[in-house]
Amino acid sequence: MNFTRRDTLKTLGLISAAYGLTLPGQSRRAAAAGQPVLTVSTWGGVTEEGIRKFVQPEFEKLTGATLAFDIGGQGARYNKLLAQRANPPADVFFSTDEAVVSGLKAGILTPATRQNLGNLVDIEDWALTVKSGVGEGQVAGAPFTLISYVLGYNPSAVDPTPTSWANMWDPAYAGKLAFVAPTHSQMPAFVILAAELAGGSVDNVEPGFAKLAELRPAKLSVFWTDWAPLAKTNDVTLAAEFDYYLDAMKDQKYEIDYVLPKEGGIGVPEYVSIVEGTDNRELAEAFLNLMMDPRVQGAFAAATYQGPTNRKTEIPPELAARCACGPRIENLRFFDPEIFAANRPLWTERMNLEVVPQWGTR
Amino acid sequence: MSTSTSDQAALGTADHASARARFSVRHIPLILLAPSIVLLFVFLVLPLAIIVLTSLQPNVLLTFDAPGIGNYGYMLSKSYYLAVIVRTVRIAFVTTLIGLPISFLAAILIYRLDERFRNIALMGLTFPVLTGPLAIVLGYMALLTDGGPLFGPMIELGLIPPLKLLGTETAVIISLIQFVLPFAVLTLYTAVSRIPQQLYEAVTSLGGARMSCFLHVTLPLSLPGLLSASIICFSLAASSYVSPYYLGGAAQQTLTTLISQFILATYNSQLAAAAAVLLLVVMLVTIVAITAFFRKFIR
Amino acid sequence: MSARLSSLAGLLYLATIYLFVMAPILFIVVMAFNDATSFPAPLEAFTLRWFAAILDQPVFLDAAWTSVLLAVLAAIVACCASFLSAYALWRWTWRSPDAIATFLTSPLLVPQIVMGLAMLQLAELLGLGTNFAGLVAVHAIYVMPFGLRLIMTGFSHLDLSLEEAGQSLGAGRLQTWREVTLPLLRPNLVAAFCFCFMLSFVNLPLSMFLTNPSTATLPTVMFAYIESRIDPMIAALATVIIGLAAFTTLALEKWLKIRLVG
Repeated sequence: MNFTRRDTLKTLGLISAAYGLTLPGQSRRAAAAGQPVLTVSTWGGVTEEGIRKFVQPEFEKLTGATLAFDIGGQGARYNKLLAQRANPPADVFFSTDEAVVSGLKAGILTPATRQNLGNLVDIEDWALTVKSGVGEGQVAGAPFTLISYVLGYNPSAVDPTPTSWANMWDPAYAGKLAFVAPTHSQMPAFVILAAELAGGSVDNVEPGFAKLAELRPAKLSVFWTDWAPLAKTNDVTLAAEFDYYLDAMKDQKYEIDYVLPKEGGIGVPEYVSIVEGTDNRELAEAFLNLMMDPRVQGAFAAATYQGPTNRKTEIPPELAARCACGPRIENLRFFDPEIFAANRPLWTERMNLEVVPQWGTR
Repeated sequence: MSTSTSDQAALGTADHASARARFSVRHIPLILLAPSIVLLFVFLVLPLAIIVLTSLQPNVLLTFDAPGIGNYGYMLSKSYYLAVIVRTVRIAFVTTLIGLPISFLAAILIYRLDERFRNIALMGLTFPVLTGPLAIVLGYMALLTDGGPLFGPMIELGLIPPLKLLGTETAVIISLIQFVLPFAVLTLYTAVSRIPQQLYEAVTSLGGARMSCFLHVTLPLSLPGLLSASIICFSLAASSYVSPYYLGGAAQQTLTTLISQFILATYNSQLAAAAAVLLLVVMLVTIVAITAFFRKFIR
Repeated sequence: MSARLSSLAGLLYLATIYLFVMAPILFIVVMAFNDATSFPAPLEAFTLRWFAAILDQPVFLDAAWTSVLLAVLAAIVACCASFLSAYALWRWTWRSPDAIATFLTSPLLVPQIVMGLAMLQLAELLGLGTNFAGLVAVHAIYVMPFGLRLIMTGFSHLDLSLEEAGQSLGAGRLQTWREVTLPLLRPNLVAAFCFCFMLSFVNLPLSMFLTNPSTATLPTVMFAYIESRIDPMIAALATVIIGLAAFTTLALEKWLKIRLVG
């Protein structure tokens, strides 16, 4: 015993320290090998896997550089950019279009040069929702996918099938609804939608808050995984959720289907943009261009049901029925990300103070 | 030869010791405290200073002259935020109130187990913690739903009414108790195991039964351990993030989920900092109160 | 209390406690072998494919190693600093020991998510990046109060005269520590180390802002994963962690004789 404790700890400590200095990690290995590394700030899970599978090999072939990943939720990654301006932790940033607006305004993102993004000319017009903060010959970033927010439901538990956002207020769904949490990316959309249902408009959202307070959600969600277990147990029978998650749930044998409400589903382009202060601007632009490549987009769509933004992408018909592409786009409504970005702080506050307490213990 | 060297060594040690004794009384304790203090200063005091400074700045929701206490004024004037503060304290309090006696009894009983089983018993209780609150909370999201494998059959058989636990404070408290139990048991066990056996024998020989042993020996001598355990329970519960976030949800915000909302959703680090300072004050006050409560009995 | 526990009531109580603590974990372990595409799901068939799926994701293995390393280093730093401080507080009389002790345990009071963000801002101010050493330091002070509490509790049961006896017999301070103080404190030290390790290993809010691609910890990786997927692989991962922890505990006990209790 005289020997064991301290010395074991000492030895463990030395071993760990020695190893700690030689941590595994692709970027370290790559950097040690002299290979340039592009750090990608993105969501984990399907997005990261998709990039590793469909983009990374092409990227390495094209540029000779490799990728490192900084994964996490958008909020955490955005804060990292805010806190590390002098030494940005990433070179490219994946986010919603609204975050690109905020990021450009905050000076942590920088526009890309149009000329260097060959695939940009093939991008659909509806995808280019970020128009401000860019100069001549520049573009805010690369919209690489389209996802839509729709109404999911349990076909064996609801009758009749919902057709409108207004169905969320039906008494049949009281206590059985999964709705956006105040921190959800689409919260501002629902403030506007509720306002319109109550006689207001995008310029007069006042009635929207009162209308939202009448909802009776069972669960407030940020990700589909927040309410998926409840769907399994029929504690949730109606849910506002992204189409590609609902499609994934279908594949995973959840009792779920979805419709685009008659007022239109919510169209949400997702962007990848360049971080201000990056040392790898050329690599970053090559990456952005690759994300807009039709083959990459086709592969992404097949793997994740996220729709393409490049009009040259080939989507087989069975897949087209399941993602935000083709005819579905006509039933989508695209909101101005500027309005979201400008109003989010105040509307989040009002949701917390005025609406959520009315929702009771859910 | 060996004797003279050991004599010399002894003399040397004695000389050394007296020299050091003159030096030590003033300096050594400070040197010993230095690592912790330096660590804390760089990695706690400085960040805290940043937090406090940030909390005094205006932000996208509130404009006032910086530095000012406008953020605090705002939050303390809204019933919503006051409710969040109260909820945080309440959840942590209830967790401690329930968790402490349960853990104490468990610690005592484990100590009374046969020596061979004690280690396994404690380890069996503690290493499941390593799965992490995330996976465990996912498990709870299944176990605590009315349609899940635990309550589902019971509800169908009519044994219990639908409980609708998910999204309530109760669910959060249940998961928090499960989280703090191993820590509390471990702390209390180290306290209980220190009590000399003779004291129990003395009480029994004087005709005392088990309850006497407990009241006159175990409880008083475990008070420092109980103090530590209650502070640990309260702190872990009040600063937990995963449980309130997943099991409580957006309608049951605690200060931690509120802070994360300010940081992650609206990038309002100023209000987040103010909320953090509020949480800090709340915890400080409670810990001081708990310590005072126990100190009354200890000394 | 001196009698061995034989009463049925006592054993039943302990069994209930264990069931309560283990219930969600047992559930997770069962789900890990479930041949279903989602989690949780009704039991369908037995399969090991989710365990195999972990091997397909090197990011988990890397992150797990990082977490272990981080937790061990943080626990070592925290326990050493705590021991030195607790010793200083115990051995010498101070004007206000409570105040010092409270200061040393004050990290308990700071919400971790704020600590993480503040540390990030501090690192930026000082021109440092987010690296592993900084992560270890932040984790160390986060877990230090817990370790300190346990070690202080141990010291409070320690008899000062034992140390003085050792020293009066000619032992230097280090030797006294090695042969008198530390052995007497062993249960508390081991418990403190375990506490610190556990708390660091499972921590999410503190690591959320301070990790970069080469220092991602297991909780941050798992958190990112379940944003878009909720399949039994997470359950399999949790099961593997439990298995490894159980194995390590047994190994520590059998070979290194490090036990939690006397």
